[in-house]
Amino acid sequence: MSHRLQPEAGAILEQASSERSRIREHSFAGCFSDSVHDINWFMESTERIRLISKSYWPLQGLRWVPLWLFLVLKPWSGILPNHRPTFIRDYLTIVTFLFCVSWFRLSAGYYRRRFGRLQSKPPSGWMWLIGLAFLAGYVFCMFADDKNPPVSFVTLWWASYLVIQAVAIGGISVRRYYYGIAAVCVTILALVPSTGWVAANQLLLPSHPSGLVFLGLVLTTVSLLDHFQLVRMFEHPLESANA
Amino acid sequence: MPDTPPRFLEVDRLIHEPARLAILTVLSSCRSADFVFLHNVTGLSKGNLSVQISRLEEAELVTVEKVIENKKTHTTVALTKPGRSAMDSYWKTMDKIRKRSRAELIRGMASNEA
Repeated sequence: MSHRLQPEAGAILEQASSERSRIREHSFAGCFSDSVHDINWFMESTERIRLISKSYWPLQGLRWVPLWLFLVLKPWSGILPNHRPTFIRDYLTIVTFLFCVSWFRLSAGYYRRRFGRLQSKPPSGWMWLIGLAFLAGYVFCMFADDKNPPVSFVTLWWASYLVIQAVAIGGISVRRYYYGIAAVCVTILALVPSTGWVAANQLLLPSHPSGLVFLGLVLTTVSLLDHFQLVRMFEHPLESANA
Repeated sequence: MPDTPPRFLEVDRLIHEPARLAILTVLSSCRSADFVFLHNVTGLSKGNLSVQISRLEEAELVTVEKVIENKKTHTTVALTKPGRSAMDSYWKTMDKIRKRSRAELIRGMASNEA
């Protein structure tokens, strides 16, 4: 009887031993997988915090909304009744400008009260140079548009501005995909002169409102979405993610 | 602690604590930040944040400046030079650990499959 049981017991012991070693191996791998997961979580959380800190100022979209709305409203000042005194338009422009400046300061105060103050690192010398070159590019585009090309170079400049904004601030990790969509829309607008409907140098002038209004609406939308993005980024603090 | 893998001993424990790491990460990507910003971005309670900032200040990793503005204390925190270099070496160590752990995980999975 004991002779018969011996091989069975041996088989059971062997099976248990292999099971034990399999479990040990699994928990060994699990230990590493946990540590990798922890480190990844750690890095993702800190990366999110770093992104908020870096893109805090550029994502304060509400600051720029009145400036872009000014682009939308500017062409409509031309439809004021003809019997108005001419200085009304000038006054309106000055009042709008002052409104934009005060709005800028008020919205800065709003962000400071709601999310706090952050002093960014000063841009490097290279960044200043790139910025100046980009602005000089705008003047170059204006001269190019005067030769009536089939595409509006100034509008293309705005499209590239949107792309640079999207890539330079936080890269693709901030997920500002709407900048890409906006850049495509503005590029399509830049192609309008090729249809012969409007000259390239007239596309963004108040005398031809549709181009300026379209650009203003796109930039307003992008700025508002920036604001919502910032609010969303603040909604996932570290402690709640840790809990 | 013989069971602890030696690689985890390389990490600076003062920085590795999540709350302190979050504060230092914010400060390393800017010149300075105020208490309200740190509170909002990290989601730490005001008491906890205050304690962690004090610990970092004791270790001379950050400087704290308090100014009275409109009858309210406004606290600004900035990273010091030693704090910046400590953060640099911390991330280098963490990167090394991550790469090593990933390699060991892949090796463990391969041996399991075999």
